Amino acid sequence: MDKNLHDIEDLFKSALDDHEEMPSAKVWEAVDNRLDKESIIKIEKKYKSAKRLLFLLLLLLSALSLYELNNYYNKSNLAEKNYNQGKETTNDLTNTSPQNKIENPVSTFEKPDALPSGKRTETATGGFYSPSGADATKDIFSFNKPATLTGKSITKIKISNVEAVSDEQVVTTNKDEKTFIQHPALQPIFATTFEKPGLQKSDSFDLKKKTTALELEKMHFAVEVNNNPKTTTVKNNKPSRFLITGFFSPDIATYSLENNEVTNQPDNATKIKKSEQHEFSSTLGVLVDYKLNKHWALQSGVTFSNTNIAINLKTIYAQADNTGAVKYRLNFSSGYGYLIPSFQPNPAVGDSLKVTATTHKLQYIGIPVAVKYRIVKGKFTIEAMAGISTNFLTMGKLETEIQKGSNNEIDILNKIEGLKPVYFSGLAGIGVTYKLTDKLSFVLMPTARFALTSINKGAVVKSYPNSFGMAVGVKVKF
Amino acid sequence: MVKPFYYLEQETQLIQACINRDRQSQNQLYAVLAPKMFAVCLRYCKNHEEAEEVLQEGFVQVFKSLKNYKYQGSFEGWVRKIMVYSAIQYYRSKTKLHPVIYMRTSMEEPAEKEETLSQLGKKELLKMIQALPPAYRMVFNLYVFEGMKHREIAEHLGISEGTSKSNFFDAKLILQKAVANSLKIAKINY
Repeated sequence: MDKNLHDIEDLFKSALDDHEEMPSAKVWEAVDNRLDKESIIKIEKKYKSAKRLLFLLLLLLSALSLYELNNYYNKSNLAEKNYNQGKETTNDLTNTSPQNKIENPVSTFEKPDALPSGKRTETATGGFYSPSGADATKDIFSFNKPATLTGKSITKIKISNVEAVSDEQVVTTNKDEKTFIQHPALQPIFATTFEKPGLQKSDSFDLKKKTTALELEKMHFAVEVNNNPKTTTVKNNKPSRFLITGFFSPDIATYSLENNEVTNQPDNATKIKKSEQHEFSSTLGVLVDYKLNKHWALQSGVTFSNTNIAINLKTIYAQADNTGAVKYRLNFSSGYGYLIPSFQPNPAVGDSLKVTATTHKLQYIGIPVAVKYRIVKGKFTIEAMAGISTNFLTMGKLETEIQKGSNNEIDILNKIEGLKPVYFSGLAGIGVTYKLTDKLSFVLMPTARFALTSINKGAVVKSYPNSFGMAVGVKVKF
Repeated sequence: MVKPFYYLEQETQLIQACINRDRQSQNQLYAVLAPKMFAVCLRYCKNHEEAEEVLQEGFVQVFKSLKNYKYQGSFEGWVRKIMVYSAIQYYRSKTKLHPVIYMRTSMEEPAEKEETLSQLGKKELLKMIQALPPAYRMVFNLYVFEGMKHREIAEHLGISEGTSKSNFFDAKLILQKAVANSLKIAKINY
């Protein structure tokens, strides 16, 4: 009988090995359709990353465009203002008698120390300064273009609070009051007064031309023009550009799962998605805003996110792990883990167990970089934010209860296999800030976070976590 | 049998065209291989419908994986391997991996002589395999037709080696009984 039993397999093999049978035509039709679908999916996948990149580029481009528009708008306003002020100055110059008008091809700024009190000197004013010290008057100033100065009285100018800025500076004068205007996008705007009681009606002071010649010099300064040798310096009390926000955000977490090409596993994206539920998740952190101008700011800082996902009752099977040891493998959205219950330390391949009350916890520290656009309306500030975050895995933990017959055991895995140490996510949010005091504001910022890269590799599925959180916090001005 | 050079060249060209997603070439490749592969699928499945599903999935996988084919060994063998893995995947998705316990009610009669088996048609033998419980059918096919060891079968199906051996033994008993019954009927009819 044994011989016959042995033979029967060979007989089946020889009889059926060369067997051929034509399938029905609908099989090719189905294959044809599937190939079309696969091509579409392939194209979609291919462009998914490109779409994400494009989205970020568009965000950055929009931010840049708005920034440039804002600059342009402010420049236009400034030009208009200068034009009006220049008109007044020109009127003054027109009234000046020709003998009082001095034009210097190359003007020299005279040091105040060398200028005796009460001495009438016609010198060009304004100039550029190489920012090596706070007291600019100790340096030599010169202009590339002719300077125009008219007046009968001694005019002495001191430049202080030298600070690098971009673009042109404009200094104009209007009778007794001289105004110095900086580029509006860059704080501070200085105004200084010519304290010159003896200034005559015909006196005028025009630095517009000279300061225009300074375009390349990228600087700003405060100007004091005083008839009195005792000069006074206008101090610049610049407000800080930094704001610090502390926040907490309860999150509604979700994920999108994609099947990974891992063979011989009983799970797939659909099964895993069905078997898992997100539990309470949250994000907290400290963010620093750096104000670029009235509307724009850069944001960065540190966030800490915590995501909890529960897994329903599930059957797991014993398989060989990477080292060849046979253990029970549990596949889930974040990765996988190998378990060995104490009541069955040596399972055979294919043995099964049931796991209940399983939760996996993921914790990340994120470094976000975002661009913010702010519109101030009284005590309220409306803010829109977009950026990216680099997220570093700090903890991946799995807790499960294993059951087999009367045996029951709680197992904890402190390392989830397949998790990447770093992943990138996008951020977008719009919110409101309410000013409580000069230094303190309340912040409410609903924020969406979406993964740009998967959090795992080599697992049954690729997981892209997304979340929507209502961030609440306080903002402190320094 | 060694294939003539011109055939190999044609095969390579056809594969290349399929990699380039030329649908006509894909259809041509399907037409050449489908009858053989369908026979493989039929052995792993309980009926034509299931076999067609596996064949469809297998061919989709073949076309997707063609770029990974290294032109080493027989192309037909490579495709056949994919079909077998598709069948295993199908089996795993449809059934839980619990071993099937087959209770033997009586000692089966042994098959008479090898020659007598040839009296049975291929379709009849195929039906006997298809009538096996899924786990037995998988183990029997993998062992007999793919030449796998029980350890390999255990790994592929996610069962223990002992289960694989036991399933194979039981499958043979069932087939032997089925063959004996068929021969008995054939004799009566004759």
